[in-house]
Amino acid sequence: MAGPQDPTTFVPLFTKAQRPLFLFILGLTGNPQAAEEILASTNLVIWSKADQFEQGTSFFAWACQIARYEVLQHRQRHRRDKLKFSEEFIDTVSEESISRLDDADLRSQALELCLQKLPTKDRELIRERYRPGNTGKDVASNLGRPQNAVYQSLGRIRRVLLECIQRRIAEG
Amino acid sequence: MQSLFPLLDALCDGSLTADQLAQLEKLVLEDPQARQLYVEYMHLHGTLAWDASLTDPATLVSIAERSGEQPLVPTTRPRSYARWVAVVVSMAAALALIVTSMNPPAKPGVAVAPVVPTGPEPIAEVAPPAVVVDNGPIPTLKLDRPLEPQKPAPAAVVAVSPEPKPLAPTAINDAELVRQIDSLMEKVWVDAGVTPSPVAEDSEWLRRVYLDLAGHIPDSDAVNRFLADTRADKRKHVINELIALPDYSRNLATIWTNLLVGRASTRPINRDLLAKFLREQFRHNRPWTETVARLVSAEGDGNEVGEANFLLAHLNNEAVPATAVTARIFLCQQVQCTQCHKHPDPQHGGSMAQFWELNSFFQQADIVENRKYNPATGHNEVVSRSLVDREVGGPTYYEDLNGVMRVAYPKFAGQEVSPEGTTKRRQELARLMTSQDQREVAAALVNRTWAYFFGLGLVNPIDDMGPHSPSANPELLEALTKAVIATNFNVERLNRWIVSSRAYHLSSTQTAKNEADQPVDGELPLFSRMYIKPLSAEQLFDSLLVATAADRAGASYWEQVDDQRREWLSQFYQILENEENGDASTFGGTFSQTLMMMNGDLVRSAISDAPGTVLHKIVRTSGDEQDRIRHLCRAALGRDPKPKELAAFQPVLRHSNATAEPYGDIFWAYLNSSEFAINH
Repeated sequence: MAGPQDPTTFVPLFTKAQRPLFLFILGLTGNPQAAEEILASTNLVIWSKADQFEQGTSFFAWACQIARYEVLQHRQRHRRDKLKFSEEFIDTVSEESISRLDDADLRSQALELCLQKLPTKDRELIRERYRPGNTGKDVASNLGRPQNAVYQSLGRIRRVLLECIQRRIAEG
Repeated sequence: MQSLFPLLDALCDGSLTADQLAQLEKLVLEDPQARQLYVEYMHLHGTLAWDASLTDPATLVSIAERSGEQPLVPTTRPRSYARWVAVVVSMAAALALIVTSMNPPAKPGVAVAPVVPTGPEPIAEVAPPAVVVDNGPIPTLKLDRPLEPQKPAPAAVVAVSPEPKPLAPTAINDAELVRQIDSLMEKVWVDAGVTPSPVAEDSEWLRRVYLDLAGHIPDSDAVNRFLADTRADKRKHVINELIALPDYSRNLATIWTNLLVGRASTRPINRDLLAKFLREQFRHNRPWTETVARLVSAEGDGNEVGEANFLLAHLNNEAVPATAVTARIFLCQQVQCTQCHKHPDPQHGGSMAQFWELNSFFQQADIVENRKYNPATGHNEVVSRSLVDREVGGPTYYEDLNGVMRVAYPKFAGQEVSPEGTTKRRQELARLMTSQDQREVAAALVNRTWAYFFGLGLVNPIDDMGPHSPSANPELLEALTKAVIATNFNVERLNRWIVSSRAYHLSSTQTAKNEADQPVDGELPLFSRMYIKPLSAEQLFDSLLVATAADRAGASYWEQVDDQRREWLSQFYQILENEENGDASTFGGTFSQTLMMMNGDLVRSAISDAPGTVLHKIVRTSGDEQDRIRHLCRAALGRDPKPKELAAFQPVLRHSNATAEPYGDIFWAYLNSSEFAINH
């Protein structure tokens, strides 16, 4: 097995695809830790097949194929797990997910702006919630607030962010 | 679609149960809009997680440590892809070297995964924490959301909440319902960790309930009586007294006339007759659905049929305003933008097709000008306008965003109505809107009424209810909606429940324990204190009269006053002829209002010590200065003067030789205070 035909183009493509790949996989699993694991094994396969990638074609589409396969593999390995999505779900969501990731960069930029627009308290809450290693429960107890209230607030803030992003994308 | 959000949140915060997973799958599989929302939401969640890790320095070290490798990337910043690339390139080169020296198939003995930021916690593979996810009743929007025409229609639009069955009329016990309201509000307070403000003082509360139920402040006699009353249930008595007054129905009629046709008096309609129609409806406590139906399906001459004036005011511009206004007022839905635009949030907002389907109900309506020969001018002049229905049928045509001509047939809440010319479309619409299981009309009434009494609705903006607008208390909204339906849309009972609730009696003073309740900051309102509301123009005018005119006798008084009031108001309001037929006002705490208050004729005559004014009476009563000031304060603000005020007024009295003038000045000060112009 040889390396990529042209590392100077392959590597940036690879790096740029990391986040969208993660998001793609997350959509199929719903679980960020699992998504991370699957991303890791996907990356392995990508590198091992690097010489098969055809310059000029869509790297992301190619990588997503691999990722999808890895998702199914992961599912197989965790056969007994009750909390996993069905194959039908994975198939259906795959397509939707790929089409939505075209403007992933735009969205990410929009998100940054939208985060700035949040009231300080809300931004803090999001920051706290998504601090690596934090669970929803941790946040509530760290802030000394009832769980329910925290969940509701987080849900609300996410909705606000989503709407804000959609508006920005719509406005171009 | 409403139930999708709690499922998504449960998924993101790690509390999803197997049942919920199944629900989520079903929704996503069956509804393309749900699918889109799912994907976008998860992408948002993922991005937040990913970005957070990227900027967290500690993560990178810990990941490396966890996977037992040497930290490949230095432990500061990231987002610098250049660095990443450098590292990865060298890694790739290393890999290539290593791999080529091995026999295929290469078993990855070397960990080649680049440093991947960790996401947040896993979905609990153990029993999920016992978190109450709000799967409770969320008001369903009956207006289904069909797809864009080019996509094939789904086999079945998933009903995400159980379809509301027509309710068997259950007897609603007023006291029990009030208790239910109180406990549902308390739940929200406990969850949010706030303590409600204390109960409002008598004077504070009396002024509030008078303004809300009668449309004006209490006169000083009423204040004196109430403050002296020692009965434990005196507040309940006041509520009953007020509802029995003609002022009650007049106030409601004023509010709704303004909502329906605006305040500007230059529209060619008979506004007074519309107000009269509404007054009668409220005086006899007719079911709200009856009022709505009559307004929507009215026919006849505007000078004879009061309710016809609603649509007469809005049937310009191809009935677009009529459609928008009908939806906004009776259903609390904003559809006017979807006439031409795709809703930026397509899974929540209505579609263009829906707008035009609603609009097509108004296609038969037309306005006929009734002319009469006027000998003085020699012309046939318009004396009145009639609202009629023409026997036309067929579809409504409109252009979609791609310029393609489309058709819409009359359809409401998923029910199609025959497009034949012989079908009376507006009557059908009235029937559909007000049928027993039509929750939207009930929920809209609840939200508007709540907003009227509390300054903010349970859903805000008030007239934009939908899955995209969060509710401050979904359970309460649901309970009240159900109760309204069960009592056959009894307006009076709804008003009573609300003003008898504990929350309505709270003071408007904020305490340290409910600082978190700040709707002005964008938080959902908790109603842990009474929010301050400005007086409307009509309330201000009426209150000025109450405060200053001594001789007001009975019901005819207010009718006589109506002309005067209309004239006063007309200085401030003008019509805007746009898609929404809105009002432009220069009222509302602005310069014009201030000038009017300070210098206007009304106030001037009120403090002129002319016979018949309150001032005239007070100055001539026995008692010392303090007594008189107290009377003035009670007349204007419904309370006793504070020591600071008395101290400030003494010098005014000292320095004047006139009898009435200084009191006039004091009165003027009270009337122009900001306290006078607010309802707290």
